[in-house]
Amino acid sequence: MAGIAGCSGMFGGGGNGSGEADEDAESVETQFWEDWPVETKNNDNVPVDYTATEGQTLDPVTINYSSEEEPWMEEHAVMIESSLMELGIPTEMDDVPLNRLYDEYWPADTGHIVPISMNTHGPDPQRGLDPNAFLLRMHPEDSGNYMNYYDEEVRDLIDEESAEVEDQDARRETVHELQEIMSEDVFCYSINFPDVIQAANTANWSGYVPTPGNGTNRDSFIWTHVNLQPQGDDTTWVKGVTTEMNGLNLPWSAGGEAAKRMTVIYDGLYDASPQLEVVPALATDHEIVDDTTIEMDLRETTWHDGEDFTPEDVKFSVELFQEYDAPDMAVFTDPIDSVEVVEEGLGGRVRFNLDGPDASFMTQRVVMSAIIPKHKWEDVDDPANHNPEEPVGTGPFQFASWDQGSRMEVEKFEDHWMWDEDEREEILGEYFEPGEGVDGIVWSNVGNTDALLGALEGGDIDAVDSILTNEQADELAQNDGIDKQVSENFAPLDVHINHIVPVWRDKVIRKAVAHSINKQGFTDDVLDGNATVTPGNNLISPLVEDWYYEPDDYEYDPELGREMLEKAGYTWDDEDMLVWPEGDAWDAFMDRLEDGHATREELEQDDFS
Amino acid sequence: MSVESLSTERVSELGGKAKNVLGVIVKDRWAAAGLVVIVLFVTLGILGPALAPHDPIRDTLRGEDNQPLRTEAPSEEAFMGTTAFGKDVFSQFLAGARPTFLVGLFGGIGTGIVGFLVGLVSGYFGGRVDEVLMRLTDLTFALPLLPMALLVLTFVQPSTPIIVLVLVTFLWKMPARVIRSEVMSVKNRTFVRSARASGAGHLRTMFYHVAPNVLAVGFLYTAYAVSWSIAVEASLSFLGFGDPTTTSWGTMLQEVFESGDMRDAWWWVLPPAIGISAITTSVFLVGRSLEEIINPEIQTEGDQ
Repeated sequence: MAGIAGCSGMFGGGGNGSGEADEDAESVETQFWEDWPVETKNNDNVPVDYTATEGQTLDPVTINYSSEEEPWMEEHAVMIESSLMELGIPTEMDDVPLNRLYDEYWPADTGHIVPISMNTHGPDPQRGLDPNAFLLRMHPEDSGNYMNYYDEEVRDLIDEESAEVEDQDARRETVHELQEIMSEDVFCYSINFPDVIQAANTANWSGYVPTPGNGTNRDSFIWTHVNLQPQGDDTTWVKGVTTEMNGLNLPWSAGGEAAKRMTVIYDGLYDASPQLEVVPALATDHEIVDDTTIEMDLRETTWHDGEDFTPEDVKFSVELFQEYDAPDMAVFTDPIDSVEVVEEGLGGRVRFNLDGPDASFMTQRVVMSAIIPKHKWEDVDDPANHNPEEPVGTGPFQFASWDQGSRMEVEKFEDHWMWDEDEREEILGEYFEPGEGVDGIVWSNVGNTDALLGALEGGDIDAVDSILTNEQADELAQNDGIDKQVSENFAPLDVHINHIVPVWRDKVIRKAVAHSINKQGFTDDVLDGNATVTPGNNLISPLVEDWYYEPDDYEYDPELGREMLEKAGYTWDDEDMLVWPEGDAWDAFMDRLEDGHATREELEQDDFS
Repeated sequence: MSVESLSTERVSELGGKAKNVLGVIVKDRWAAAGLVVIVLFVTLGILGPALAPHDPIRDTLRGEDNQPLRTEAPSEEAFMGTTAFGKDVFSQFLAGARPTFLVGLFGGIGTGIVGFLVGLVSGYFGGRVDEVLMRLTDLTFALPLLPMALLVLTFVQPSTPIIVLVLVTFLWKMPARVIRSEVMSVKNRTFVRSARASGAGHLRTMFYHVAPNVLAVGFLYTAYAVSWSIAVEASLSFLGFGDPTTTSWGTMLQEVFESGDMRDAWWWVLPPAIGISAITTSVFLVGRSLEEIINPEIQTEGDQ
């Protein structure tokens, strides 16, 4: 462990108003406490300016969020603010536009630039398939580790479970242990898994599939799109959306919405079922040859333009994605060293040679694949900036037209296997609806939520892709033929804490705050109960059945939180604001900061209350 | 004549002028009503947040069953109803007056000052100075206010001072043009020429002899700028580019729109909407009646 500097009287005086600054008071600034494997995470490059000074009142802790993200996000930030205020931790609210939140507040090179930031996570299926999507955020080498969390034990455990391909039980045990640590060590504050509330026309359409995280008709899953059956005269399903698409290049698309809408045109090697199981798509079967070698049998099918789909297309796609760094394909291609064609021709067989054992390759990564036709892309000079005029895929729908900013249309591709009722029934189970399906889909851009709701009521559109508030959905459901649709979620609402800031580096504060957050109250009051409250601080949802582990909960009891702080030597000033420990209690505080993951009991510290 | 009596005379002269102005306003019924609204608005701007019975963002109103009152029509608990998350609309309306007032006040004054100075300098010196400054106003006239403001606020975090700055940057052109033409007619009058002839410098002539004669028009346009600023702030907030840390009337409208309750929750829409239109209209009504004093020609035309 290196770099435990920062204790100096000279740079003290960071407190604000607990009275006269003590000349000899020690202080500690925000700092990286370890030698990070990431070059940019070092003490010449600390993203936050926050100082703790012996015997001084705490400086305000910035609470960052984007009220644009969800209609209730500001309510959530206010809830966290009052949790901190209960303990006497001063706060500062920081509401920023959504694009700034992602572009500026969470830089991958240094981690968060504020002590607290919060968000909900996207509905990408991989987050509901394998625990690694969230566990890796605790890994020091992962670019998603914005919270600057560093624990060698945790890192080793993640490395261990990620490489455990053969023995699923052994992997499960390690994954459970990691969830226990995540919660006990207060990696973050996980609040709940908000339900996905939507509304759609059910008078003219049946067969909506409530997929977890995506609801009935967001685009990360294609099940509603292929299962819908027209009940009226209309055979083209029209969906109102508010985000436009930037282009038709799926692997290198600039925006998430474009990529998601195009998953009806392109197939992946595997898909995720509504029960969050990995199901065959372009690959029909696979064989794990050894830890780093996997072979797949491919489906006999054709591209939308009639050309045969062959193993060459798979090999070509992976190599092109790797050569030109396709961002949306990175999850899939990262662990792949090389692809070989084992058996040529229609269908055929491919072999993936991985860089090392990767437990999530078959449970998650293959679902994020999209295969593009070699005969269309091999002559493209600059694939990353290519915008195919008429994208050709193997998916259940073929491209019809696109007008940036206003609409995209696709038509049914009759030869696709999903139009086969047996295939569909096997995957969809109870949600299966027999029938021919729709003739086409139109995504129509409607300016804003208000207009969307009006268009749905007026019958101009059949469904809205946005997530609605409970109230909006109830309101819509009062119309004949429109139903409110609720699905569960695997993407959590969580509060990121920056582990290099002295406030969060002290495990006592982390735990005290955990007792001060009224998750159930927020869920009931603001979300009207439409969410699954997280026990403890786990980012993995109970929907991820194979891997989920339920950690011990933190009882909502702010008094207990204050007691914990008092025992650790914290005091309160005249205005009931928290004051950093002094004297021996300060030394004990510094010991906790140096470790970062140890409790007072583990360090055998005195009771300073 | 002693200094004291001179200053008393000045004060009584000022008092007389004020009485005269007030007299014109009171005679014009519309302007009088406008003045009442303005006084009310200023009072709200100063006292509003203190008068609010609840915290506009942090307090959630609850019904008898302890459930939050979501989008409730006016009732005993909340006489202006509640928002989608159970916040008191009345408190938001009261608290929202202040940011609206601040933007109006500073945006208006800033616009007035910048516009006045540009118009004065441009009109007084004429020639090349005039050429440069007027091309600059042409440029700001050519740039559409809202899109440009949105562009700026996309890159900078919106805050009240920044919004005021953006407003001033785009609004000064209006008073500048008017003041310039006024100055051009004043600067050729005999007393200005004789001041110059008796050796007064440019600065002295400009500020001591010319400026007082166009000051009234300057005040008038400053008043107008107040209502432009309020209207633009509301538009920006409505589009989601307002200061996110405060609740202004504009942000209230944005929230009700975003929540999808625009068509149902009239009690949430009307207070900020009426507030904004009442204050902007009032400023114009009062301004119109003042124009009659400043520019008697209007009055004569009206009488014919």
